[in-house]
Amino acid sequence: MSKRRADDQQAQAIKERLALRARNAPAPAPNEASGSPEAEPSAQARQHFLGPKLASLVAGRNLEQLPVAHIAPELRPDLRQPRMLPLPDQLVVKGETPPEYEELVAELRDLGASLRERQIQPIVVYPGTSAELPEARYLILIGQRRWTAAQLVGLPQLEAIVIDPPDPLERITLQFAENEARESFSDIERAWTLQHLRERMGGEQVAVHEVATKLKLKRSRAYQLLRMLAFPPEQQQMVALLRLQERQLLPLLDALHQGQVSSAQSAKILQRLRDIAAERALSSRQLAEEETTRSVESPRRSGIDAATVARLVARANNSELLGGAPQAPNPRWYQSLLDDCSSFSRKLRRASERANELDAQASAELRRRLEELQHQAQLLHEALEDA
Amino acid sequence: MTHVYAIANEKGGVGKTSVAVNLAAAFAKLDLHVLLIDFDAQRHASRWLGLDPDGLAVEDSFLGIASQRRRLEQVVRQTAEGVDVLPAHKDMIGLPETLGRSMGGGIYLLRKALEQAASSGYTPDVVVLDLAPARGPVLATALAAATRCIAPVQAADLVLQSLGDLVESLAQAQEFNPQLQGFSVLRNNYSPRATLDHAYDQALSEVYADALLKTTIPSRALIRLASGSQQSVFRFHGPDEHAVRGVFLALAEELLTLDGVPA
Repeated sequence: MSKRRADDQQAQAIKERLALRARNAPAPAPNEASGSPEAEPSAQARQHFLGPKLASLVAGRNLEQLPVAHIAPELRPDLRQPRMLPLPDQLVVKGETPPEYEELVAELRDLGASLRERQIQPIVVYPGTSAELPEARYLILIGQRRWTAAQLVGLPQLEAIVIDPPDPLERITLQFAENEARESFSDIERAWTLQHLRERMGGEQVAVHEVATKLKLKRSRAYQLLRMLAFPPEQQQMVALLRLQERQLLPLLDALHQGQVSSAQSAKILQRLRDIAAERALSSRQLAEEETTRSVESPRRSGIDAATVARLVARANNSELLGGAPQAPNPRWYQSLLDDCSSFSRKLRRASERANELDAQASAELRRRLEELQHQAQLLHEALEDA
Repeated sequence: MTHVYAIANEKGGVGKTSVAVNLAAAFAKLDLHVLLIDFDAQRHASRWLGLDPDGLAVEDSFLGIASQRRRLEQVVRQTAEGVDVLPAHKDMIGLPETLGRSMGGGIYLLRKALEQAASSGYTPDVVVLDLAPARGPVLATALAAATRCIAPVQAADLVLQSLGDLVESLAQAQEFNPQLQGFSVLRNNYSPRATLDHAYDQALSEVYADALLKTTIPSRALIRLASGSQQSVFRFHGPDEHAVRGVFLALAEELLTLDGVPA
């Protein structure tokens, strides 16, 4: 997401936390039909909805306590939310959790525990039935993650707002808007949503930028995200589980698109990334327990950065070459930047000798550009010192 | 209830102005009405927030209030970052003497000025006082109006000594200002990898355990660069900006959690 939005959301998240502390009201009484003691907590709960469209859909509706057993996620293939969220019976099979879901289950259990204490935002459901879960009378529009968490910890009820079934396009844009605000929403899930929406809007004939506009994404960003779908489906699942973002995976995506890395190699690289993420998660948990200072970074990052990925890609290339020259350990942009620096340096030197050829306006413009350049150069210089 | 934060440490160079300006901007980002009062004749805070203090008359600073020629709400200026500023003037180098000449050392000047402004309808949610590195009448006047004193510290020698002196001043100030409930030590310019920082951390935790703020301002090029460009980190652009802004937002959040959110 854009830096500006990310900044605003930081501030927004803090304001919500503080508002919650300030109000500190006792939990709303269950199932009171629009009496005025109910209205206050409802209004508070509704305030947490982050999109205006969703807010208007839920306006005027009461909060209800619904049994979790009566709620189910929408599982029909063309209506299902494109998110990395397995069903509860896939997460816990015969009392055990498959290893690839361990971290996810741990997070969801934490979520469940905090929901038990206080449910800040109601989930949003609409009347419907489910073939897989016959007891259900409501389907989830927003809140599948919380529902899954509730299932895992055995929470019997969830606070919900019941609305009318949304139309298919609206559903996708609403879910995207709500998900955008959540930290757990990853780039590949955004890519899935883009593709999903494009199919619903008419398929290949619909221009990508039309789809992007509906989700309030920039066209270039949409293309960036769609590139992630170059991975075969199982690898996409792994990317989603590891929550690897597009920026981190860029070296691998570039290599895939340019045919420098095969699909099998890509699978191996992703497996290696999973191992690294597990190692780093373990060590950061240990560090977190020892730390006296507070970390501002969010707790669950995959611990992978673009440089790590680039290293693995280079190594993969290396191991396939027979007796070839060893690949440079540095990322590709480094060499390219060095080349640019040398050629630019030459140009500047030549220009200095011919500075009097320019008129006043051109001169001023060039000076402005040079100042900007100096500024960027200084930032990079400092960053290199800090690294 | 207005929170009045006095950023104080008689050692220079610990980052008082940097903390004051960035914290004020962070509060503004959280949509609070913030006033920053620049008490330092070096006038850095005023400049960072976009004012040109050398274009102002001496009465347009706290000196105007000290000489009773102005009321607070008359001299407050709004700035682009959403922080109100009472700017400093270079003649404020003589503020300690000016205060010394008033009855009672001018100790209630700031407090009265804030109270009068409130009754005229000017009620910021938060007031941040950027003090010069000194002990004396200005610190006393600030502490007489403050609800919390925040002392930025760096992992450097003699820090514990200067904190000890500050704590003494605070104890005295509490006698004439019962509203001064809080004292916080803020670790500034810390590099988590340095063993020296760990050692000071430990020493600080032993002596000032309850006062230590959990949020720590890390040593980051962006903070230095922003101050070099005379901007807050919320206006300055650089690769680290999101994380650094997050730190100051976290600091604002911690303080609001300690002191409550102004209604």
